[in-house]
Amino acid sequence: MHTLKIKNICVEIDNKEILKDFSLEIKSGEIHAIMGPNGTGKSTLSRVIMGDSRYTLTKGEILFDDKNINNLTTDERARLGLFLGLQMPTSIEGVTNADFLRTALHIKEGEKFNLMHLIKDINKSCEELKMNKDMIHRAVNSGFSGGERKKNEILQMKLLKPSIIMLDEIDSGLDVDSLKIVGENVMDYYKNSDSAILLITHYQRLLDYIKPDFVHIMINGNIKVSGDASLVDEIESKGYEKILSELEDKHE
Amino acid sequence: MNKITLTDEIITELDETIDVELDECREFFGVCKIVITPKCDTKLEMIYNMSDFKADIIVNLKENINFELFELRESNNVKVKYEYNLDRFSNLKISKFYDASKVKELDTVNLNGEGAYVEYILKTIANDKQDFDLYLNHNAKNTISKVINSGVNITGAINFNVEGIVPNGISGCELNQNNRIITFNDNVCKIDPKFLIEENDVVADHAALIGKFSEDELFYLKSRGIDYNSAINLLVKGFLLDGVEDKRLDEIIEKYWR
Repeated sequence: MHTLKIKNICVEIDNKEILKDFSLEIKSGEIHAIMGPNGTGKSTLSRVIMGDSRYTLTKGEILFDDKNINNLTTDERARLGLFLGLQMPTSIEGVTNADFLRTALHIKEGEKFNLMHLIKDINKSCEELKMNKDMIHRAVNSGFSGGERKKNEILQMKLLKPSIIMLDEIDSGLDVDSLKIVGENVMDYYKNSDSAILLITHYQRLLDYIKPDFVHIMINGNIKVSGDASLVDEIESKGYEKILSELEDKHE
Repeated sequence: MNKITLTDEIITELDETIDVELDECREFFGVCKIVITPKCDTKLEMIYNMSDFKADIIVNLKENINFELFELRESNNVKVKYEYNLDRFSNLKISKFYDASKVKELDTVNLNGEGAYVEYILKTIANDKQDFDLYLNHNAKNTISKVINSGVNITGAINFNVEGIVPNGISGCELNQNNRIITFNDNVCKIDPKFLIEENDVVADHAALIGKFSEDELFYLKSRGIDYNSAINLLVKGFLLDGVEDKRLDEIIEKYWR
């Protein structure tokens, strides 16, 4: 059982406050979805959890299994079991996927690292994701289509076996068939591991495959409304503004 | 493959496809002169393993000959002057990989015959000051030069000065140069790409970049558990391999880069 606790964090970039007293707790066996309009800090949240040094944590703490990870570097957090699937995965010229994955797995597994096992795992995962195996020998995300990039993120997730999975708009750039494949692969991993998922998305269609236990609406750097999966239908039918105004009316 | 190894002595392993003349004046003037003349399509590997070394190397390519020159240099304080002379429709492919401290190099490529073609790829790692001057003289019509210079500056400084020259009346030429330096210190590195073109009917383009690896690339690698040093190693290797199609150069970088 793993837990990620985000306690009252405030985050700045270029002297602009993005996250304001933000709190959230995620446990193994839970799927959380964060939804909200553009520019409310959803992607910032995932990057801050992952330890992107361009953001400044001015207040609060992030705990993984009750251990404060505020001062851990990005790679240390990743080795603890945090994983971030990016909205726009970075392309890296000259570095092949094979070299990249071999290095990452070698560092994670140390002396237990076995190249043959990695090759077998890559082949199996490529088949499950319906990815062309040649992509392994191409430069990381270089010349990949939007869909190929997203599948490559899920391939990395399957190989690195994280316990807290953050997926930032993993559905963008995916066609209907690819969305189904990605959704099913994420759920397959989730069901067979002691993991938790934090999804960031704008659309209901991903949530048809990855069904959330908790849905949060994030506005202006903080969670304003939380609910169960039915909140997604409400968002689709009413939109964020109406839900928020109804909430304000209730409070009044 | 033909091979010349420059250590304390010069060792040659050559077949009948190539003529190599070694000048004996090295002991007196400290400069080694080597004249290389391929007799037909062939390849040559040159390995430098010596320090405080000066050389004048002339490569003469006759009509319609394809020649590949591969050079690996792990030496200190080396000054080399290359002159390449290319006749009609000859094809020269140069691939160089250096892990050296102090380097001063002058390469002059004379595209003397119509349709001559040169591809020049240099990958260098600098631990001291390295100066590279490359002159590409398009002396005949329809000649082509392609240059890729990639430098990783660890503790030194790198200067690339690349000049493509096309006089008036020499039409139909193509010139392309791509110079890039990744630097890990604050020493001044310089790229000076020049095209001195008097003719209108010419295609010329260049790219130049001096900088560090991007924060996005580093974040991405680190977000997969790869520590900073390993991430830098991967990025440097990728930078050196980028654009390399030559298998020998690819093998060397793969094997060599730690």
